[in-house]
Amino acid sequence: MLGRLAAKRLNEIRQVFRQVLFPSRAFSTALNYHLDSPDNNPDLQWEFSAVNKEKVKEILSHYPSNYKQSAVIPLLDLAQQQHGGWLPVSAMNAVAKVVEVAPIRVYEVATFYSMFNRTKVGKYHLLVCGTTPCMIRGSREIEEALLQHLGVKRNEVTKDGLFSVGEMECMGCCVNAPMITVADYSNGSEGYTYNYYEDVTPKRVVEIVEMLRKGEKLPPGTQNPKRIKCGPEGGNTTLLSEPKPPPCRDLDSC
Amino acid sequence: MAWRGNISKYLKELRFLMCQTSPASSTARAFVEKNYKELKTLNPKLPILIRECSGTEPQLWARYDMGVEKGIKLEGLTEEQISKALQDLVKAGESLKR
Amino acid sequence: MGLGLLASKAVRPASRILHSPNPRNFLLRTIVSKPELKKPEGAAAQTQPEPPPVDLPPRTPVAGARVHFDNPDDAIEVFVDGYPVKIPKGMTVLQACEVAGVDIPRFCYHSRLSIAGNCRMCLVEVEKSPKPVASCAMPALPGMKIKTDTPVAKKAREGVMEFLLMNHPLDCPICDQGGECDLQDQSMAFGSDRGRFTEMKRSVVDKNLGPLVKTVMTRCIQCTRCVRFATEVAGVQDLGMLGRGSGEEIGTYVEKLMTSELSGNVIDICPVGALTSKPFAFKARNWELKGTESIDVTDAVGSNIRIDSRGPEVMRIVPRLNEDINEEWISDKTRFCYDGLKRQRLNDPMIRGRDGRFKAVSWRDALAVVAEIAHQTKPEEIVGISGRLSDTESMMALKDFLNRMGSDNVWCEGIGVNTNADLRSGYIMNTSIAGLEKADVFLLVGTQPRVEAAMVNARIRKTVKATQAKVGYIGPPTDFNYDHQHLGADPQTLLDIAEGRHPFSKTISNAKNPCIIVGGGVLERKDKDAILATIETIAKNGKVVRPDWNGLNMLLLHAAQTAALDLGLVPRSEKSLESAKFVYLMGADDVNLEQIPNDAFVVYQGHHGDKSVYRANVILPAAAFSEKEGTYENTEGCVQQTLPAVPTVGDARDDWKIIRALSEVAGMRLPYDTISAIRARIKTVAPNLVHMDEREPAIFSSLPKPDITEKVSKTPFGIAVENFYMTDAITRASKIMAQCSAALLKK
Repeated sequence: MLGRLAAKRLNEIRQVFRQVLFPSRAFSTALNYHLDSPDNNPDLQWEFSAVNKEKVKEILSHYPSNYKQSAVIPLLDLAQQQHGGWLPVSAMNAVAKVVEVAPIRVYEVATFYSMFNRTKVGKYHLLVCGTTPCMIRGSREIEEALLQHLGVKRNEVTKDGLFSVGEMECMGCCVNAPMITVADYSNGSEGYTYNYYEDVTPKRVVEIVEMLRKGEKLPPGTQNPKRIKCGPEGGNTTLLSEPKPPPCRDLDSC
Repeated sequence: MAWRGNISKYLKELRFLMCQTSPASSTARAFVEKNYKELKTLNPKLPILIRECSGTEPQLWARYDMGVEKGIKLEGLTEEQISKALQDLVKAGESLKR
Repeated sequence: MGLGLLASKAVRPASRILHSPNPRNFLLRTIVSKPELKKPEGAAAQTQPEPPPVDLPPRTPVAGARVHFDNPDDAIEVFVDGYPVKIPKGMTVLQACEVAGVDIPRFCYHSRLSIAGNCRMCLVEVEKSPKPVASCAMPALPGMKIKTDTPVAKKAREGVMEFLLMNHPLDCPICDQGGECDLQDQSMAFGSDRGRFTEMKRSVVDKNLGPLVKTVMTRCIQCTRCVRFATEVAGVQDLGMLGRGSGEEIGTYVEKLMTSELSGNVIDICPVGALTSKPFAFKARNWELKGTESIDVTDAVGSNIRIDSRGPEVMRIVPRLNEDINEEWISDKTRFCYDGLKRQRLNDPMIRGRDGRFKAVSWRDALAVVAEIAHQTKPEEIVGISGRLSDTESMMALKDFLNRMGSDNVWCEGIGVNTNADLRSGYIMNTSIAGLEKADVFLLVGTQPRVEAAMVNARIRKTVKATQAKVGYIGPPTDFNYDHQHLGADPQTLLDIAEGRHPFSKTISNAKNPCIIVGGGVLERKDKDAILATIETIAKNGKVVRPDWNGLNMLLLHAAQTAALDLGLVPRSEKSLESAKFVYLMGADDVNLEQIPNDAFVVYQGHHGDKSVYRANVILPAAAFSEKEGTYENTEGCVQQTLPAVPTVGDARDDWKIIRALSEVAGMRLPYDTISAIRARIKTVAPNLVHMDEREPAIFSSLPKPDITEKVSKTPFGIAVENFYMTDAITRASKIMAQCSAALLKK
């Protein structure tokens, strides 16, 4: 009998190891070390554009002059927008020079935050929320639809360089789940937008992609025409009138 | 004193050993402070090594040719006596040379 | 390094029962009611503080350390496990426990680095605190009651250890740190006996940090000691913690080698086997090695090292603690030069035959030949040159021998003609290396401390970082790992400062403790007297030399130079080498061999077949620093001795013994047979050289000296050390140093 129990337990352990984890769920998007490539190596020159140099000065003015390092995150964000959605090593070195720290300190910040892309992304970087509320409303189908339509894997860029798909954490639209975000890098840092498209369906998502490909601007927010913002379909069922006043304003006298 | 200019003729090396702080070496220290410049100016090529070390008894060593060395203890001597001791060493060197 | 002591402490006698006063207790338990319990108020009224247990011995600080009170009035009292201890204000809880004799386990805390507080192994329970407290980061407040052996603290340690071991690979059999691994020791002492982790462990790609540091980053526990060391002590901000969560990696992000000269110290600092010594990889386990306390001779700092050897082979070199000289660090050259001790060694006396080839002979024949030729040479044509690695005893023997032959031409290489070795204060580091921490302005003249004496540079950097000291540098452009002003490249700048024309002279006059460091390369210049006189003028104007502070220093280049100057080994005449007929090179490899005339008879006594061997007529093999007991004086005047760690090679002998034997064969026997006899002789020349491990301060710093007629020349200062990794016979023979100089030198 003990033998049978042991064999059963051994099988259970084997199951744990044999479990093929969900195929498209790669955990970390990028490596924590840099590999040189022709368009991403420390020898390339990179600097902020003339317009962005003014923005840099404005950003630095928000922080004390002896703590310039505090400005690292907004400057990296600006550099990312300028470079079309991702940070080459030379951009990080340029930010390090502005902020007057050693480059490794900037690399540490850039690798910590997953929204700093250190490899190429598409002009329209589509981010699908994958957290629980969206997941139970079908975000995995959304992602599959996108990947199938574009013919890429996660974090890969399409051949025309226009689209890439990534996973994102909860963006706070759980009432309008599932949703995607489009980070629009097509117009550099001046035309940078980061818009949510909520209540999407696999069909709608493909429509959005095609509209973006044609260059159309579509209004962000819920894509369900029957809803107004985060209200339910068919209009509100609660909060239809002014809120009731509290039963007694003067609690001591009640 | 003319013999002071002749030191380098008869001596190869002169060494003063003393303690930095003890009272026994105080005259030796004073002698060096007062006379080093003169001795060195008169004998620029002669090594006059001054080696201080705590707890050392004050001594004056002279090295002559062929490695012969002669040393004199300076404990309890006044500065004139130290000068005389130096003169004796020079005379010894002179006699060795002949 | 060993928390093995801790492990043995944790295994305490389990049975307290057997030691209790009443022997019947463990069989029969009687219920006793005390008068206090009978009172209606009960135990709530009993809240007096417990007196410390009187039957246990008093506590002394960990490892016999002494507690330093900056301000004795500011001492506060805390209670560690019931014991009251007095500590200076500002100490952390961990340091307070160390004063009380309790060694708290830790991974990320290091006494010489900033506090990180990320390993959480040092958690202890503090009364009135809801959670256990990270003792390395919490400042000790007066009256704090710290408890280190309660179930809460123990559970915390077991939990932290379990977490650390979760992603740690099962590498102990193949990991070099086994046997001296903090993780092993602390998990034995404080961890639980089993883990509960059944998932997949994460692995991390290895980084290439150079030919010296081997990285297996899967073993890293992310304590960030290496990151803090590189940023704070070494001054190169190359390492960082990239990523977050369990995917954190220590690395340089871009492919960058650790080029700092202190990079080998991360090997000591890393508590696990993530960063280990690449040359020492898989060579030996630490329990097989015999440690010998010795001194490093690759530069003039005299860092204290421990030579770990297994049988006749030196396996590795690790630092020893010496607060005054090298703290806990050693430079890469010191650490990795040991494999040069195994290559190119001279092991038999040899004589060059008529065909120009060397033939091995016996000692008797070799010494007979040397003695005969020495006798046939005129005294003024005999020259003796000692090398940069020579110990004091051998230099004394050489000087005595050649003086008895009638020659006055004995010197140590690196010392220029007619260098003034009269006053010790003129050539030692008067401020002492530890004293550099008190300086607030540094003037570096013709010296690049980073390559000449890496530990002195580390000390200067420590001062600059701690007190924002200003550094002015005169010399060719080099890089420093701290902020400095490059004032100029030639002695003209010195004259400007001396005459008050340069803005830096005001910086010096305003400084409280100005410090001038002159490089040893100055001793080879023709205008050295003029330069030293100019520096004395600067010193006088800036009040650099005072009774309470002497800031005038010279940083010498070789391990043998200070002792040589103390003994008086200075070249007397300009052309003595060009007109020599008998040249005795005792380990002197940097001599310009072109200067030796073609018909001169050259004897080379040394341990490596380096440069001078090619010109030698007779080779006498000697012992290297790891094989002999020799006295070395470092640049600040501290006299230390090396001890033999391994037996010497072949037929080699100690240097001074060879000269003693030669003197016997030559008929002018030197009057010493034992090492104590030769030290007694040294005592009559320079008595400070027999005071081991003592630094004798020099007096007569402001003695009036004869006037100098020479003028300062316009030649700019040169670089004394071209290649940091290959400076002497041992390092030039070392393969590791060759790899380093190929890969790591800044081109």
